[in-house]
Amino acid sequence: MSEKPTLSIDLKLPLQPFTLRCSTTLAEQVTGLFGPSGSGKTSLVETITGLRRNAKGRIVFGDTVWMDSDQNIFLPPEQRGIGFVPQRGLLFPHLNVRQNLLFGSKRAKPNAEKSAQASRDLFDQVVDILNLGELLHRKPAALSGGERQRVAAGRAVCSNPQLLILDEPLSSLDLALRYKTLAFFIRLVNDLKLSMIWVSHDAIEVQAICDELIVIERGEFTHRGNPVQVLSNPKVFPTLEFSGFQNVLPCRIVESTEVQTRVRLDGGSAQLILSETIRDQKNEPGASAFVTIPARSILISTENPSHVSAGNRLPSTIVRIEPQSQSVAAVLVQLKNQSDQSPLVIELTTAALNRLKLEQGQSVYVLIKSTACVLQTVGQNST
Amino acid sequence: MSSSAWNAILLTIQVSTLATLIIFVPAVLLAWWFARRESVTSHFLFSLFGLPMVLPPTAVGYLLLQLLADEGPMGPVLMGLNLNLLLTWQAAVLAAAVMAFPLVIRTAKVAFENVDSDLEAIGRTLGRGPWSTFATVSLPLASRGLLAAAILGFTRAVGEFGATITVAGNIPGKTQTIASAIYSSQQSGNRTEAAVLVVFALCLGWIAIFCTELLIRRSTIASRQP
Repeated sequence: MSEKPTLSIDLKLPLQPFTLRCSTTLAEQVTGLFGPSGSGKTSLVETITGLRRNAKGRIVFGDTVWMDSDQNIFLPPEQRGIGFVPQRGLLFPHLNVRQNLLFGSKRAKPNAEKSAQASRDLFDQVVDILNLGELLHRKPAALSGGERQRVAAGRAVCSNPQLLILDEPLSSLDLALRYKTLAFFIRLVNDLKLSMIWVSHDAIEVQAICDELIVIERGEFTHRGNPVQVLSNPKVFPTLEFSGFQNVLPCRIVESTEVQTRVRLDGGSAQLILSETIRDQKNEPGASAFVTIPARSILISTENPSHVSAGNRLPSTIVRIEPQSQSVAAVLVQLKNQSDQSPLVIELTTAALNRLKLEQGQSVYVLIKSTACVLQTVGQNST
Repeated sequence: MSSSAWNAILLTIQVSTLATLIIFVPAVLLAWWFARRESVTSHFLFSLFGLPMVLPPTAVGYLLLQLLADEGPMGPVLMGLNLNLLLTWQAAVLAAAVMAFPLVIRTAKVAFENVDSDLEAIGRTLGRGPWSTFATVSLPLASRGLLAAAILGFTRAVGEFGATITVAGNIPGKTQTIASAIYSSQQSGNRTEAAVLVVFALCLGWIAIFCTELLIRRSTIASRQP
């Protein structure tokens, strides 16, 4: 794979009731755009795809100028080499799944070395990764919501895009289905090394799939960085949905028995025991998965408790304490034997914080009930 | 059935079919443009093309007559060649085409409006240009509505009287259509011939309306997003 092209955006986009302004460069593989509805996310990605034409400014991808209002350059969407997955899926109702997938494969501007054989391979790979084999002859009307979004993603990927833009691709699905479908998207990223812009207002999604997160509020980029760091920021943390902050930890399955599942967290050797059991051939030991744990369901102990029901007692170090309000604080801890990429976020009351006299750098034990962890398997990595 | 009634029926079908074929492609392209581009120009043109629907047909016929007259914009003096259209069956085709045009455009426009324009946008992001997207997305999704537009245009042409009689006359066996034949037989007291022609017109019209209703209902269901 050659050097990944970067996307430079310098835009002024008039919206109601504010003007979206941004000047930035996106270089990570998966960048998340996170913000409440009405913050300008969709308008921004529509401008990047070329479907919205009323912006002023400049968009450059690699060394191709997509748009420059000063020089009157506007590359139409079909020449930008992008794949777009909209919230509503928008499958072509008159075509079956196979025809939908192949709709963009005759892309006007293919990557130079791509031959017919390569595009054939891509089709087979996409069908395999997204598990679409049995759906190929169905019409969109006969698909479920999750299937529709998978086909929409597959159709965009089959057009061999240089950049995939997804506008809340899972928000039309209910929660249970949402994270199952998310697993397919994670496999797309892992197996095909796609570059993506992932628009969402779901904190679990963006942590599970994004390398970098940008928070957008009323047309301004307010926060940017590693997803966990951004989401635990006191300005962002309180805005998270009803269930509060969720830790999302990528992992591999170590073993799954009749009564529990043991996983090893990516980026280290720490292990977690979950009460969930899985009986699926695809999820044999070694398969990737992610675990979600609500920040509110994790306990901290200053000593190693021996008589406690929690299945996981993990030695850790406090990295940072972020007061969120008068009564609540987020404590970021580093699990022992884990890289410092992804701290665990724990929500504590200020009272508990004071009682235990917790401070940065302190060694503590993190207690997690096995039943508080939710496992979502991603499947075997093809590599 | 008398031979003059039979001639009128054949000529009407010939004239209406030709008129529909001539206007169909331009009407579909214009309807797509009207359905997708909202501008002062498009509104202006759309209302202009709608005029034959609201004017007295004889007024349209009169205007066509002026257009084709010796000194008119399409007459022999300015065109440099004589089309010799007046009082021929070709003039009846022209009259029927002009009168049916607004109805075809309007029905086709609704057919395109029922196609989600976001689907066309998706087609563009998948590497297809505007024309390719039109051919592979908009046209197939609007096809039932467009067929309905063609049928309605055809029936409008069958029923055309005022403009036709003004530019093509009412010459039995030459320019006499069902509509003008009914008028003539009624005037001359030939009730049998009038009845035969009326029954034929009734059946044709009823079948056409029935088909259009069916097509339009199905097309709204088919182009709706699941």
